[in-house]
Amino acid sequence: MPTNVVVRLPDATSAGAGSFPLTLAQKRIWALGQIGNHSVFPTQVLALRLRGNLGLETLFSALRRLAHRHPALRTRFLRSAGGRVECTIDATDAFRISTNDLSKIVTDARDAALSGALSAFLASPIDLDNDVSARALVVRLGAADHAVAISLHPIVCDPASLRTLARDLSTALAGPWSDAPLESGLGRAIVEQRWVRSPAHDDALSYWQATFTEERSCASLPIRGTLGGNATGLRQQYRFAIGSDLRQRLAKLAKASGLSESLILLTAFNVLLARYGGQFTLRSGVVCDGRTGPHDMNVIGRFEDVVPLRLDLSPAMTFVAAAQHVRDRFGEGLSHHLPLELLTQELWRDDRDMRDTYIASLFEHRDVLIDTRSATPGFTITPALPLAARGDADLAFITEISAAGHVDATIDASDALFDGALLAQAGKHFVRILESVAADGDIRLRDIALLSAEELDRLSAPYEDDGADDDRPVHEWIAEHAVLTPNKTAIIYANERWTHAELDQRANQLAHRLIGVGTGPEVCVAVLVKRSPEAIAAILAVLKAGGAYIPVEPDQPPARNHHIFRDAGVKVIVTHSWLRERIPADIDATILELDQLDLSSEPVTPPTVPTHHNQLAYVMYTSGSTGLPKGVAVEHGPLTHHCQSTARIYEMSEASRELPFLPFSSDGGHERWMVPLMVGGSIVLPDQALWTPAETLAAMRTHGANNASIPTTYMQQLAEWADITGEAPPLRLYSFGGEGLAQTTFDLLTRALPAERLINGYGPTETIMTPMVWKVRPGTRFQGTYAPIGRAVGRRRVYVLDPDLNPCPIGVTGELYLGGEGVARGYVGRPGITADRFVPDPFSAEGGLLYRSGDLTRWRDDGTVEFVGRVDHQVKLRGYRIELGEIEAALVEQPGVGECVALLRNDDGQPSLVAYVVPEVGSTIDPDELRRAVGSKLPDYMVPSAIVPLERLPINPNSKLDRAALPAPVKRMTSALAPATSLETEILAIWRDVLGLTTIGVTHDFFDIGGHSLAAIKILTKLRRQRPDLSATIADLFNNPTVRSLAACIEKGNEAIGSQVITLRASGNKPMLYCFPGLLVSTREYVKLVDSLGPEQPATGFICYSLSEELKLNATVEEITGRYVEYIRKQSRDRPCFFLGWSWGGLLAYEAARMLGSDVDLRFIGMIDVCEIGSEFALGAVPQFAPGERNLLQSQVTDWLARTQMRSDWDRLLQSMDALTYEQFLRFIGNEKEALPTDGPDVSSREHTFWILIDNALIFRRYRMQPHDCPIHSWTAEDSLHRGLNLIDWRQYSRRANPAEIIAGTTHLHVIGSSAFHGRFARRIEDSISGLKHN
Amino acid sequence: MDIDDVWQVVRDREGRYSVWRQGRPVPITWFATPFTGSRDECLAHIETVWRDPRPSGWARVMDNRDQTPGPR
Repeated sequence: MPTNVVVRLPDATSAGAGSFPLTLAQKRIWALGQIGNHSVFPTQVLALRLRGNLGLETLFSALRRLAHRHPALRTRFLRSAGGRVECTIDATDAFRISTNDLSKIVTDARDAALSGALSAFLASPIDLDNDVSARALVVRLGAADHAVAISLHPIVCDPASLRTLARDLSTALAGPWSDAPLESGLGRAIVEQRWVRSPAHDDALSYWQATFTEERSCASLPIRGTLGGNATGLRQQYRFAIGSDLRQRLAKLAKASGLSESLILLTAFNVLLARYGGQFTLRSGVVCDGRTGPHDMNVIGRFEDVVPLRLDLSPAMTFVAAAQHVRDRFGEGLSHHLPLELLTQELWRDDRDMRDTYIASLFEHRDVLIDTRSATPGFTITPALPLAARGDADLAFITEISAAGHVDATIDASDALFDGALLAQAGKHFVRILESVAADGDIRLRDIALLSAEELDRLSAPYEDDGADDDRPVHEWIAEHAVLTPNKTAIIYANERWTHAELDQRANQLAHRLIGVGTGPEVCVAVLVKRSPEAIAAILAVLKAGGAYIPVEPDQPPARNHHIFRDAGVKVIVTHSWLRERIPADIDATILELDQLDLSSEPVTPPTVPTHHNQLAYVMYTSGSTGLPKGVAVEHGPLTHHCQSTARIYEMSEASRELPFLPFSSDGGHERWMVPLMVGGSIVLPDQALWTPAETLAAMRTHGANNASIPTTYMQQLAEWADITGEAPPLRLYSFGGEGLAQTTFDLLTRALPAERLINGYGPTETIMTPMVWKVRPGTRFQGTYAPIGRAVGRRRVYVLDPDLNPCPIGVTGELYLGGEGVARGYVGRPGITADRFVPDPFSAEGGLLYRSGDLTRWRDDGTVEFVGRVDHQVKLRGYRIELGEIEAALVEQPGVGECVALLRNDDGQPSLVAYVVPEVGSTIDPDELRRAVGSKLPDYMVPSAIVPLERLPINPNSKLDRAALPAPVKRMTSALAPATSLETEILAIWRDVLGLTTIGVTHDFFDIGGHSLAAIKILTKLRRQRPDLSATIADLFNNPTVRSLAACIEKGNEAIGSQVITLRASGNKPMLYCFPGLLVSTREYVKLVDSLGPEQPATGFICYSLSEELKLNATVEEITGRYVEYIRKQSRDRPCFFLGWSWGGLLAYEAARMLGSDVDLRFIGMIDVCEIGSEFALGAVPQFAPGERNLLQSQVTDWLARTQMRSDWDRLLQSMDALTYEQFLRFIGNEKEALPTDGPDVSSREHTFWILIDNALIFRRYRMQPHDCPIHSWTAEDSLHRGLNLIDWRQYSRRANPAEIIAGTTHLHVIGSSAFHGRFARRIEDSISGLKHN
Repeated sequence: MDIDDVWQVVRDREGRYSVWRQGRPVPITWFATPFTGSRDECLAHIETVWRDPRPSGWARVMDNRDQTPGPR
């Protein structure tokens, strides 16, 4: 907004004369003060230490001259009747200066004493109701050592003003100085109001509306969780410095490229946001000082504002190009500047655009506060306190030039949202960005390295493992135990027991035969044998013969198996004769049938075959998300080294007896027999593809298993069973993997399955078996949606990288890459895809490859990797980036939900989120109930539009979820039931007419078919017209929301008829919650809140009198409340209960509490956005009219009354007004933008609503609030503060009221449905209930 | 095609192929081949030229063994 329009103000210089309205920003600050918030806009403090020859009197005199010059130091705020606020200027001596002499304190303790004195001075906020806008403190620390602090209310001052103040103080101290009072800047509101009605405003607004419809991520640094919001309002600061040396190098860049220093800093901050968020098109904000002319520079006032910045950066952009782009966009924004308060109001107008926030991060650059070099000789001035930051964004990044030549930087951020370590890291990386661009301004954004080599080395390092590997291949390790412990059991399988020697001899004999039929290096041998000791012997035989084995599961689809035989070019197939038909007849391979083979002639000693490090060991086929399975080729060296490391990390020994439950079609299944046998241990091999949980636990007990390796998908069932039966034997180790593991599942299995150690394994086939593990004690807690996947195993490193292969900082989500020796050779016969997924390793000194996993992960501080989701499971819906895993995690937390999966479907061209849910054993799931429950945990755009219960999730042959096999949701259409009685027929006809629906039946729910309170009134009005004998109310309809139940209720005709009480939830063991209605509110609006409070929270709502009555005059608040009070007294006498009042309902709740007194045990009243009555109808508010305006308005009213159909209603209302009230009414309609409505008397008409509004204003103008001490918690919608609404400070009326909490990103109308509000209200209820228990 | 998005086909000393963005230093043990283009073009090229999946050291050992007469 241009503020350089000079407005001459009357009497601006003389104290006390003339009062001025507030600007939009000032109204917001005032409203914040009303609700007790002093942190969003902190007190502005200038604190300076003055060392040198200076008399106290000089200091006082300088301060007084400062107050004389700057009216902002002596502004008073007057609240007129009805809450309108204006400001006026007081005399110079209204500015109070207090003193504190600390010179007697010993030198060492003086600094501490000073900071104590400053804290005490600043402890209480400036009370604008009683004090002027500023005050000062002078501290004497010694003859030549003083400190001065000037504290100003943020409504009259901003950080740039403090610079002016510091400069003027320094000048005043230096000697003679023109201290003629300056213009106050108080006339800015008038300029602003004028501008808002100008075409320039409309231009600016359309610019921002166009800007904000474009999709851009609201950039910020990664936050702790996905939900919760800025609950406490507490902030944390991380401070660091940008050294003067770096500054000088940046200055060279600035000069060479024609950029300013602040622009370089601003760009670097946005590059930081882009790199941390992985989004280069983004939106952030810039704090600008709002001063447009040289005159403004000298004035102290609240000029500061925020300019949104929308950026289209790209990773390939050079830094200088990015800075130029930032400069252009900022300039564009500045030339369309709209006050932030106005901008957000306009953007929040449309429900569909409601989102958490528009700007999450702010950048602010401040000039040096005071230039010590230019200060007067004889003394030095240094800042004694850092300046505060505005707290209306989640995060503010402030750079301030220091007098010493460096830049002080502060990250000031929400304490609840951000992890302190992450902010410190971001600060470090900001400096690193500056270092990079100082060295090369043309560096591309993607080439700026954030992590140092040392940090990367630490984060990527594998699991600690001191053991030494040897190069013998796996089969030689296993064979060794046939010599060392030949008679020890190796495999238990049903009734069979195989010793190490037997296993080895069987394998040797077959190996000789395999060599005989041409098996050798790089020759693939398919083993088409079900999981069994024979299969293991056959696999070992292939390895001993020098070949590569391919496990083929006989029970898998023939098409898949045929593909494997052909794709891998198998030369030999080992199988059984009864499986012969599963092999295609035309295959060119030797087939060996184990049951037909006579191997007695073959030697039992091993063949002499050398094994090369790079020789092929096996090919494992994996199902991709699309297309045919691909064969992953793995070599001997990496395989044996992996297995040796795994044996050490899993602490395996010859005592190990493992139950491996993983199928042989996954490589993990092979690790879990190889490793125990390599160390001389044994395995208990299941004789069926699937065992029941009971069979599994029985086998563990019978055979004394001490390890078990189980797919995550089966782990849940096993743990549930064990939890019920308590049959799980204590094991040394459970290892699991294959899918993400949620905390609830992890908790269940640590409770139900006793073990010393748990290992969550992770690994794509391409990186060999289980390349990463998270090894913990049972009961470990973790943050995030899924259990961490830990660190690398063996000769590997893991990296979390962005799309440009840059390592991501800790806490930043990126794709997981695995490198080092332990990766596969590639995909058999697919060089292109191999080169796509296996890329050169830029981090290793030995070179090699990195495998790109497709999994989204992030590093924790210690290098542990957290699993976030699949790259392809991150979806976009209506412009929101959605991580499906978050939806799944919210579902799994709900009681009764076992497993679930969410996905974005596109069944009928309409993308929608669908969740599939498997109930826990013994539970059933009501999809609607579940949807409502997660609706209170997730942002609206993440709530699945359908939840499909399934008996089990479809699993593919690798024990992984088969997403493609999930069914499309079936739309449930309940049939329209015909009416059975004449009353039903009558009511149904009215419903169809009012709702405009012809297909509805008598059992359809009013709200499900689009019913709302106005429709309800229309229905009742029609019904009453047809059947004047009936007295059904809107409450009856809401309590009986089908035609059938309403008809039954009317026919029963009991006392329920005609009430104003709506049962929101009838039962529950918590105290009753009574919800009081706002104007024209039906209480239906409370349903979502009540849903989120859970099944134990009973709740009752009252219908707004304006919806339940004919237009009736002269009601009083006490009368209206009286009916509610009577009901509450009857229901809750001497019992605990809660009240909740939204908007004007808060006044009703308060009055009800006062009337009830100690009749009930009211635990607290929740007040949501309760405003005082508008100023227009306040008692004693005398309206002002421009010349001729009153007559004009009067003739408008006369003309209107002649036309309206509600004439008689209006006449009654207008006749009830006294002369002053009528004048106020004229003023009110004069202020309305739109013409007087004549569309009544229909209940949904504007005119009807207008009548109710005026009537309501008259009801409340007569109401006087009496003090009443009861506990009050209040909440305020952020938008209401932006609008400067006249919010009630409940602390005026009750000593037990708390300052209001702000619900960010919502409006007066939407706050009631905001999940952030629901969460905080629930917490208050929980606190209160736990208080009850302690009593 | 984005002028900044040029890729090159690279090979390592074991004869493996992969792709690397042009303009970034080629990682150690890898060297650039003359083929450049979009990432997809490079991958399509590799599909046609990478014939032997074996690392070259092992391929030499194995092929020498094959040529050596006598028992293996």
